[in-house]
Amino acid sequence: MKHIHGLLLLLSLSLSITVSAHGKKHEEKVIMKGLHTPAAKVVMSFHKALRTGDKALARKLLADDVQIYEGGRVERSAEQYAHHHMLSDMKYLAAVSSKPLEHQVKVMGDSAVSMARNHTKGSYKGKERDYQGMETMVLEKQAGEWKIVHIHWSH
Amino acid sequence: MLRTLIIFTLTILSFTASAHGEQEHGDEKQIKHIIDRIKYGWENGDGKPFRKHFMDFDGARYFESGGQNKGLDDLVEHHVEPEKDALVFLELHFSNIQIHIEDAMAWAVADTEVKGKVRKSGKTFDKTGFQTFILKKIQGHWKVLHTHSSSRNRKPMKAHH
Repeated sequence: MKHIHGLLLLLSLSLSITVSAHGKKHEEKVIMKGLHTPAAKVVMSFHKALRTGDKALARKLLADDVQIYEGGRVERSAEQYAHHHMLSDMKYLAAVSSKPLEHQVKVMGDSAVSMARNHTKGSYKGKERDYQGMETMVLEKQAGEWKIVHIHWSH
Repeated sequence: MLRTLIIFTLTILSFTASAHGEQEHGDEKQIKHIIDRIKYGWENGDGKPFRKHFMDFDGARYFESGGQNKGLDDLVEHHVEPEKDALVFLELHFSNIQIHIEDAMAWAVADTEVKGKVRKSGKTFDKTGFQTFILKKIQGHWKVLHTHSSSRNRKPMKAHH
């Protein structure tokens, strides 16, 4: 269950890419880059699929041999993730809200990397959650479609 | 004539495949060396390997268990080098290193074990986790664009009865 935390990180990135630095003494340089690219759209679609509980879409966007690191655990295939933590991640993400802080996507040929950070807040199973989460994703173009081949979540 | 042509074509294909294999082996060797230097840098609070093998750019981010360093100076000056004074010792071990190379981009993942002792409190830590490295080949040299590490306290070994 704990592994969900990191996961929420960005899920909400697709909600909005507008960021404000309210309440901060010094305005932080916030980077939102490369979000118009097809690879970035896959990342944001994946976030949305998790948030809305769209299992078929979430599974479709993952490469079969995706490696997912979260909270010191690893899942080594899309099937393993789909049958283990994906459903609990979806429940968790539906219960909390997540605000994007930064998101960069760099495309290099048929590969791309997505680096994102967000702030998650809410209550789940009676526990208050309030933390910053980080997400790294690697994508590859396979048979003309961008697929997520690696995810690393932490918080 | 046809036989000569076939032999010639096969020879060229074989040579090309061999050259590609050697290139990939060379790339993996270079990336493993960089990972080894990163380990040295962390363990010794030495920023030089990071300065040499990381590509600094506007937007460079290095994630670690919910925190981040922004840019190479921040990583070296506020994380790597201060650990030399803050810790009595730090041992970092990478294992199960897997390297994926696609043209000029590579990503590598590894299992990690990290042990250390905090000088001020005397507390020790022993964690296991994972590391992701993202690299880009620039003018024949691999440079680290981004890293992400996460870990948690090592689970105590279960007693066997």
